[in-house]
Amino acid sequence: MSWLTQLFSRRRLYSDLSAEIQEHLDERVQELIAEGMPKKDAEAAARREFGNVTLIQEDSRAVWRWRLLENFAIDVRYGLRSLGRSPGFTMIVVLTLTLGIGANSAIFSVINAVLLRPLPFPNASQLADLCARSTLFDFPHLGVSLLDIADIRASSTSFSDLTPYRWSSKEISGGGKPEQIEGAEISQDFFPDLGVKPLLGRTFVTSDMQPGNHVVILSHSLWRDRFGGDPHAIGKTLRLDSETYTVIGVMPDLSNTDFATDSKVWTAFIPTQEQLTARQNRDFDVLARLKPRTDILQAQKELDTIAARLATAYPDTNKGWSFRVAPLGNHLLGDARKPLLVLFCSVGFVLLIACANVSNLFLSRGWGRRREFAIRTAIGATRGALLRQLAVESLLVALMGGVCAFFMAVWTVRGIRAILPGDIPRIQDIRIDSEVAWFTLGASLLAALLSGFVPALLSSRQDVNAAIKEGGAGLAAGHGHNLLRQVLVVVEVALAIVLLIGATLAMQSFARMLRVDPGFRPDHLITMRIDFPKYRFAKVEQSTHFVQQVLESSRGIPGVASASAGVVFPLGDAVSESTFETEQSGSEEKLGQRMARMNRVEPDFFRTFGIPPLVGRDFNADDRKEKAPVFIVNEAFARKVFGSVDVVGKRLSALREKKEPVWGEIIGVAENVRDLDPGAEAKPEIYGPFVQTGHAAGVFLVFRTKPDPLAIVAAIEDRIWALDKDRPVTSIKTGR
Amino acid sequence: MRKPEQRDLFPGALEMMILRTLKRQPLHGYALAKHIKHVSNDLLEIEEGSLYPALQRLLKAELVKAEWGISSTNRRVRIYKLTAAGVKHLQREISRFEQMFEGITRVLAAIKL
Repeated sequence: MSWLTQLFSRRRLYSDLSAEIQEHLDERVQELIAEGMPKKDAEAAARREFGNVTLIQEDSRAVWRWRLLENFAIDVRYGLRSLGRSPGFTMIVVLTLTLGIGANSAIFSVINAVLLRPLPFPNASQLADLCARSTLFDFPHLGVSLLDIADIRASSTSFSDLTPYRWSSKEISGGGKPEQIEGAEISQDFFPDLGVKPLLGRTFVTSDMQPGNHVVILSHSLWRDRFGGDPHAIGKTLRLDSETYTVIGVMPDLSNTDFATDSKVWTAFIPTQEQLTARQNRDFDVLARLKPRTDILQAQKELDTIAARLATAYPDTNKGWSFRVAPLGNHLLGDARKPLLVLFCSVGFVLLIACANVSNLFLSRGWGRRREFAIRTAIGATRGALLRQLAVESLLVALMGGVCAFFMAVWTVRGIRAILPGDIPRIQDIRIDSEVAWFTLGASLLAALLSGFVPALLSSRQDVNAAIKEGGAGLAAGHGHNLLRQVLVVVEVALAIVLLIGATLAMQSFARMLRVDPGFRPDHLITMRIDFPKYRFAKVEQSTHFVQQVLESSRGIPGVASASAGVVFPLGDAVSESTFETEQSGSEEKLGQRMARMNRVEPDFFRTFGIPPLVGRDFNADDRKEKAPVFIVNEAFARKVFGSVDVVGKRLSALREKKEPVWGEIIGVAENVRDLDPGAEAKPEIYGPFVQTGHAAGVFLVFRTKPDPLAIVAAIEDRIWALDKDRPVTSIKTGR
Repeated sequence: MRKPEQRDLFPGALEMMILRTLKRQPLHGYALAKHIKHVSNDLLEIEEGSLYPALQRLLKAELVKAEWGISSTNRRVRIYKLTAAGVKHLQREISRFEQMFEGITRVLAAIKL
């Protein structure tokens, strides 16, 4: 009989049974009367011979029941009633668990979106990032040269494909403000390797990879913004970097992953002769696809062998260089991984504390209910039944807490998105979905187990007599009970201290960040960036001249106290390093092997930023390109390299021509400007005049203003656009 | 609290006797009880009522089936009949019981020596 028909036929089964038993008794009574017994005696005898009718009926019925399930239902009903009788207790326990579980659910929704959910590409686990590292540079992620990529491709067995690509921002003009947009140069294999198909049109093919073929693939957002989502956008044109590009494809809306797929446009990657032939031209990011069932560690081992071989074969360019391969997801997350896991652990501790608290409450409650348990034991409840009852009660409160926690997570998820740093990839993808719901259920069950197990064991262990007598006898039984509560308190305090220490450390670094002296005065500053794309600024002089024109013109704006420019922004997230030599370094050290940060600045840079000069002089208009180089170094550099700040007049070289250092003179020493990481030591740094620079991809302009800087921004922009109407101005920041 | 049940000599014995009796002929509960009492010569103390939970277990396991009918004494009764599965089960149980019984007998004989 299937369980379903059994469920519906049960009533009939029971009535058949009663009728049958009645017939049985009747038949016996009739028989006894026939033997000559009076009716009354006959009935009594029949019953005596039959046994306990009610019990037998019950036993017979029990055969048909799902005992576990029905007992469970009874326990739930009883548990609800018992919890309802102490609403205060129930509310506190549910609230405690809600906070504990809810915090975990909310953080899990972040972990799930950012760490666990695979990247939105097919077979994303096979995608990897390949980069280079060098013993010369302290960067974890350096580009790879095309020749190295070709060598890896030729000898590696781990990768099914390696695709070079590079970020390349584009200037979009024609119609409205000139704008700078993120772009990437990709090969024809890029999108097929990712497994992403275009929404409209096509992606690149080999014939697109020719110089002069100006074709472009649009992102979904650019297509929407510039073409109004026109389904016939294919074949239309777009002005990029002052050239006309033809649209050949539109990509679907790809989720934000901080990867090259976040670009607004993709153009064909056409390597230059230099890129094709120079091994030191390490310009490229590499998207790698591992062969199916290939372990990434195995791929890394193979890369180590290849790097060692290349270092021997090409010591000039490859000595000290190695390759690193990492799963694409991990690479994109970078440093965001650790704080998220730390956060997850902290909320885990919070849940443990909540459980310890609830455990404690259950213990007290169990102590208060020992009479009830004793009476139930006396009328036949086994210890198992009591345990089951207590377990059901913990489960009930934990599930109630879980449900509330789930709603709490739904409610807080938006706030969490706002609190977390915006540069964590896929942070927009955080949502409450079925995975979070399952996690919440799991956390609730765990909480039920953690908080209910020990109290249930202890409360169900009963000395019936002592409890029922309800006298001083309780003291003896309370001994183990109190010990356990003390242990719980110790556990709670220990957990709380762990959390407290963590929180204090976090606060300290935050406070340090607030307290830190950046080394300059950030008030009344405007900074903005302009870029020098090669199509417009082919010669270095064009860019230096343009900067001088802009600065000269802006100095005339009322309210601008001083103006300057630099290649690297202090406290910015980009740094530039250069090799340098001093006369002392000479022969004993490998020439050209010492590195320091390098910045190229216009005169007035220190005054405008408010970096106090120590000794010497600032750059001036007389430090021209054709003259011998001059340098200003920071205090950290002077102390580290020369051992004193008294270095004006010493000779320094930051450039080699025909293998010979080009010597220059140190003309000044500036105070240290802090690093982005406020706890870090100030780094040694060299400044040179901007006019003596090589090609710079762009500059930061910096202005110190007398009135509120916001009022001046538009005037400066106008001066720039008066000089070049298609020049995008980006990263505008003001400090008040 | 309930009395410890004394319906069985060992688990399954009552069921085996019921099945064996029903194999001879289909019977209703009262007749079944009377028959087992009579045949066992009242040696086994069986409460008549204890038959019914056993019968329900057999019904649930589909070893017997029950139908309402009219008895020889013209009463409306529920008559139990062995199913094919019941026949097989009975054979298996009997052979197992015989093995066990033989084992016990041998052990007891050995002790007497």
